Amino acid sequence: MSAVFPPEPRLGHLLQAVARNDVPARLAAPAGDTERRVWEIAFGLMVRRRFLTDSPLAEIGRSVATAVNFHAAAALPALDAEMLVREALGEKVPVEEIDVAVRSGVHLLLSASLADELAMTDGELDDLIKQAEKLAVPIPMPAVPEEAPAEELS
Amino acid sequence: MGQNGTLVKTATAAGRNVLEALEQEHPARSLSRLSDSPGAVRLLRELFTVAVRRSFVGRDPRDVTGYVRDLLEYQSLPTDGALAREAEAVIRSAVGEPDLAYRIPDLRRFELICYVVGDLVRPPGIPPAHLADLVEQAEHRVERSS
Repeated sequence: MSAVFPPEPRLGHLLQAVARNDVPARLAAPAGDTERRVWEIAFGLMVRRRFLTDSPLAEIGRSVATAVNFHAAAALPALDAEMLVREALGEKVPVEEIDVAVRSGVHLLLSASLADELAMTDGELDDLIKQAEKLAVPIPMPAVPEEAPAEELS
Repeated sequence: MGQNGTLVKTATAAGRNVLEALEQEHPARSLSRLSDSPGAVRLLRELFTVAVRRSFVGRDPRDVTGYVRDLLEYQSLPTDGALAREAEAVIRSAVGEPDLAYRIPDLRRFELICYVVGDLVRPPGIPPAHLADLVEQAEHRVERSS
């Protein structure tokens, strides 16, 4: 990997493509843990850009319904999607046992739909993704100084 | 028994069965045993609809989330997973969002209805006269829809 020319953010392109309906939304596409983490963080950033913590549930529900209907082939469960949005807004909601494919689908497709609702430019979307990628990098643990080997007693 | 005065007001056998089940130590479990009676099942569904509409229509749907958590905690059931989402979906479907619950199997829906209806008598419980009114209203709804 070149340090001078880092790779383009893949999620940004994927989100833009999904938002433009250029590619089918395949939820089963394999994604690594890091990639899913980036999707999740980007979703959180997008949700908090679109909604306030006390946004009416009806408003959230309309956005979710728009995304679910637009990407009907993905058959996203609307309530699961709504819960993930509310979780991203800091609410304590039941989100355990949501299938990982559903989570990824909601993170990707709802992010694309919200980007469209917010009329974000490609540049703004890429900036958001870059921010998510930075946030997804695990913080390195502080190095523990190695203990000097005990001198053997003769 | 506090509920005896209510029994005479119910017009149907199903209504009496439901009220008797609500007098048991474990109302939700007793209600679920009525599943082999189509009349009681219809009445329970209508009673559920009447109860949740009276409780939640006009309120913030987030109140349903809080109620479900409280209900499941009381029943010592998991509060953060699929059961909680299903319970919220079933309640909100009855107060104007029917699409939310269409994926939930009938049996699970019935179980959740039994928990919510059984919760009407969780101590201190609603007054017996009020409970009888709800059942009577549910009976009218069953009658109108048949």
